[in-house]
Amino acid sequence: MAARAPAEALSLDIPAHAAHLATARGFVGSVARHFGCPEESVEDLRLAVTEICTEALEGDASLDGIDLRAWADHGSLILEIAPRRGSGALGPPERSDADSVERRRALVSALFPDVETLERDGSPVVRISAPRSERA
Amino acid sequence: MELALETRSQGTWTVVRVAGELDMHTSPQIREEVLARATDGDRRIALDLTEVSFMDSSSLGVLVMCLKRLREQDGRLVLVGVQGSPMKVLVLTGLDRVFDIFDTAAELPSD
Repeated sequence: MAARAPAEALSLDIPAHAAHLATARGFVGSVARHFGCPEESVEDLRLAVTEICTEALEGDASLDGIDLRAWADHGSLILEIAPRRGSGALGPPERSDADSVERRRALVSALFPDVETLERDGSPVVRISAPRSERA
Repeated sequence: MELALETRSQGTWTVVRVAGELDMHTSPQIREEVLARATDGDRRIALDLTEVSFMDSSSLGVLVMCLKRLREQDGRLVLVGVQGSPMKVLVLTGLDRVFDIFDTAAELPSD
């Protein structure tokens, strides 16, 4: 089971609605800059979190929200994205076609080859890491 | 997050200028506008993405769908002003080879 984020991690919980993808991007962008990530990494992180959250939204109609956690680990920023399941279904999931799903996953892997999908409390957690500037 | 769309005519082209961020939530507005224009008979549509600061793969899916729809009607859909992170997404997905991309609307062919 994946170790939990440290107590000092920055976190944001967003509702399971596509309107909040921009909220997730804003959080990740702010956090990445706070921890001194290069601007290109900031944009890559904003893209990756959008892709991962979109997949979560499309794949699970019972989703209650998505938890985002970020913390510094020596020279890296660690970002975790954890879909949070609710107690009931809100409707059928809007699953993209297979090409779209494959394109999305290939894109995240291209941006962050070390992307990991872990398990915590029976639910998937996606973890990516980005380099921080040397001075951060 | 709001998306701003502004449509104008430029010669034989219909230029749809887009400003904002494109994702699963906002990209349907692009689809609706392009399909509405195509239904009205526009066959040469240029999406000006100069002021688009973010674009994800779900938005690319919308653009591909619009491209296919125009082609089915013997029309053209091209992109203008793609830069930064949106261009990176096009390149990483290989879709930069699928779309005709112009730097500015002034470069749109007149024939």
